[in-house]
Amino acid sequence: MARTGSENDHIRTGQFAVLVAEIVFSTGFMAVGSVIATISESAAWLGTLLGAAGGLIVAWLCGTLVRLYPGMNLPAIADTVLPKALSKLASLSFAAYCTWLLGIGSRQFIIAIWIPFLESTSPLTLALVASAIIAYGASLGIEAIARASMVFFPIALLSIVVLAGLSVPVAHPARLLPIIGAGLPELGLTALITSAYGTECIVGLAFVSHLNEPSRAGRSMSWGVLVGMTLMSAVLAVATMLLGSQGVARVMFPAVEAARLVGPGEFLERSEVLLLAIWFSVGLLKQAAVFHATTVSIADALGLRTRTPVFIPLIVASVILSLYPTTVVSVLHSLKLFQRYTPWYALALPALLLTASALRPVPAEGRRRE
Amino acid sequence: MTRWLSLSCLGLVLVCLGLVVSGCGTAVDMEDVGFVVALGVDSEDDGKVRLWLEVAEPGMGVESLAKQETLLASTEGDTLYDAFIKLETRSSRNLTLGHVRTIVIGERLARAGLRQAVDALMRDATLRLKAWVLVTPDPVEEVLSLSIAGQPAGMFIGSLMQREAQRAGAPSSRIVDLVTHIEERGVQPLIARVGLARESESAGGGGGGAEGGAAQGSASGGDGSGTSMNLSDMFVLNGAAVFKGDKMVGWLDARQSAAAVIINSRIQGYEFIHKLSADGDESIGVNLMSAHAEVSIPRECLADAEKVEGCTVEVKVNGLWGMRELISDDQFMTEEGVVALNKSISVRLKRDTDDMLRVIQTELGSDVIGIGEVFRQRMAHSNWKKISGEWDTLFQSLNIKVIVNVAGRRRGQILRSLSEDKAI
Repeated sequence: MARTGSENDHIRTGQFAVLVAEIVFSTGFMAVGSVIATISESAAWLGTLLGAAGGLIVAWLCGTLVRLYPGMNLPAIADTVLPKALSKLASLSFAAYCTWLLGIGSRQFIIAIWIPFLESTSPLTLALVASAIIAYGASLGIEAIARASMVFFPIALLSIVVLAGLSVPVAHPARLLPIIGAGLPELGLTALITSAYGTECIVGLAFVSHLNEPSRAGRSMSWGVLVGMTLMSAVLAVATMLLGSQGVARVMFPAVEAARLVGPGEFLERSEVLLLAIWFSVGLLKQAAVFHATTVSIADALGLRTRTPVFIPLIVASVILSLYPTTVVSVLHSLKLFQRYTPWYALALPALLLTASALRPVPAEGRRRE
Repeated sequence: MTRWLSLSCLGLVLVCLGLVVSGCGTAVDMEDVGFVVALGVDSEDDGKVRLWLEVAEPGMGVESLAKQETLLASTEGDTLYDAFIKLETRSSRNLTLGHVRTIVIGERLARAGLRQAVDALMRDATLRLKAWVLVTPDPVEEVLSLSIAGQPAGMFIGSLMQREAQRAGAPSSRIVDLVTHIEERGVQPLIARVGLARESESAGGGGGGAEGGAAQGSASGGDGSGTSMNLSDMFVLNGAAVFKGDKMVGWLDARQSAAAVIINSRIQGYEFIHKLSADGDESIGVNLMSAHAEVSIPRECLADAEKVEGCTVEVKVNGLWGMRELISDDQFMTEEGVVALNKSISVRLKRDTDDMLRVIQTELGSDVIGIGEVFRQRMAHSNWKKISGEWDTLFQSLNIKVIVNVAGRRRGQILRSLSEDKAI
């Protein structure tokens, strides 16, 4: 297993829950509404909340896996329970998934800054700066990211509460009606689509070897999924109350537009910048965590002793992935691919490992550690 | 190794951050930015779009704070953005819409349709969605040229709207409301009307006549910073433009507009003069401190889309009012007197509401009070889908019954007016 960050990288279960919540919530919440509001209309927020179910199932599967194989991350578990070829395939697929996630997240992050705020700035500059910050965060190790997340994520949570509070004078709560929106099938479809964000928690499998209490990994992961998806749903509900479901479907980043519509009276112009600064900070931390997971998973899949050889190429790849696809239409398409395939992959991987574990007796050593 | 990597990454971050520090790249000085504070748009006889931009002239020193100077630039183009490009090429400054507070639309363009004009505005990342949108029957250029007590038109109208939108003096018509209501089938846009007060008009102006307009006249004058103004110097918010989709179909006067706003949203502080006698000698100044409406729709209309046509919808308006002025021999110091006064004011508000309903249902056929939105919220989505396409027609067929019940809560600081009878 590749060494990651500091040798003393240990994260508490609380930190792990916050990391998972950050991964689930931080980049997806800005654009998720525009995709799903066309389907379930006024119930987009409810569909997002129900989408947490998929994440909770994955969290339960992952938790069970970690309880069976404490102190191991995904490639190590795969090596233990699967034949070598299959294990390598599972590890490589996880590395590829993390890289893909890093690419989609980075691209969305860059677009969210570039189009609404820094239109005249070169996206390459933004990509360079963002990638450098993300890589620096990742180089500090998962414990450092978790510590920073413990500071920034509660602030992000507070910012959502502030957003909801400031929206009261201009919001129309009746726009959330009818509660099931366009109908139950549409609500179900929305839940399925948004479950992709909840099931992103599978990235946490790259960090589970750092957990000080592996037996509580499942519970931490579940809390992370619940908090992340609830926040995402809350942001979408606020955006719907402010813009209407048609408005949410029309704009590229409903969360950004919602932030632009609220403010403490008329005396503080551009107050949305305060909210967005917090959201972007948390977004960077999420990306740093995913970058870390990617380096670890690639190093493990390739059987490298350290992740350092992966680091520099991944920084370059991250910059490139932040710039492509070039058109917003293509970005939306890649987002749809993410929403379509993530839930199935995230369910299939731990399910496969658990099934293999059940069919193939675990070494006694692993059992004893549990 | 890790430490080396960390330091390398930190160094890279610092180098990259250096690239975006203003002054090293595409820095723009304040003097080079044209802050557009108001935007006017109308259509010409030949179908072209004429655009006016009120650009702030940032000055130096204390004097500039007291007097805000602006420059009104104008040109025409095939589309709004075409006109904007032309203005940009003639301007030495980078025009930015980030500070637009007011958008004034000419009646002709409003009647032709706003869909194309709104597109360019909504795509602009800097434009504030909270910017006020108003329609004017007067020449847009004259409206935007008017500066009162050194305050440019855009800022002045913005301040007027900020206050009046809360108290039904004008509908709360921000650009986000306009675009939202253009797209939603169940509620149509109701956009504030701004006009120039002519000397022949009453201070309040507007279709509300003496009763409805008095409060607005005083409100507008209140922003004069102590400078005396004659009536030809004033803006008035008098009524509202009714839209069907993106096209304006007619006007509501001040009283009708206030009635529509009361049904549409909660309001605070709507003020009007209510005549207590037919000859108009006795009157009461009413401050409707709060009011809200509840819409009741029979279940069968919600359950069956076929039964929506001709459905009877009940609108109950409840509110609290305060007495601001009483010109009457009767001081309403008995319970019966207070009840009678409540009833009289309720009847007046009901009359205004019925009048407004007659105009929007019969004459204009536009649901600006959002009854359709209430249907959408309460009925099954499949039912709403069946009727949403023909909502304008169905709205006209509805039998809307209005019940107004307002109660007096405040009388001011005195119990009775000055009276000769009580002199000692």
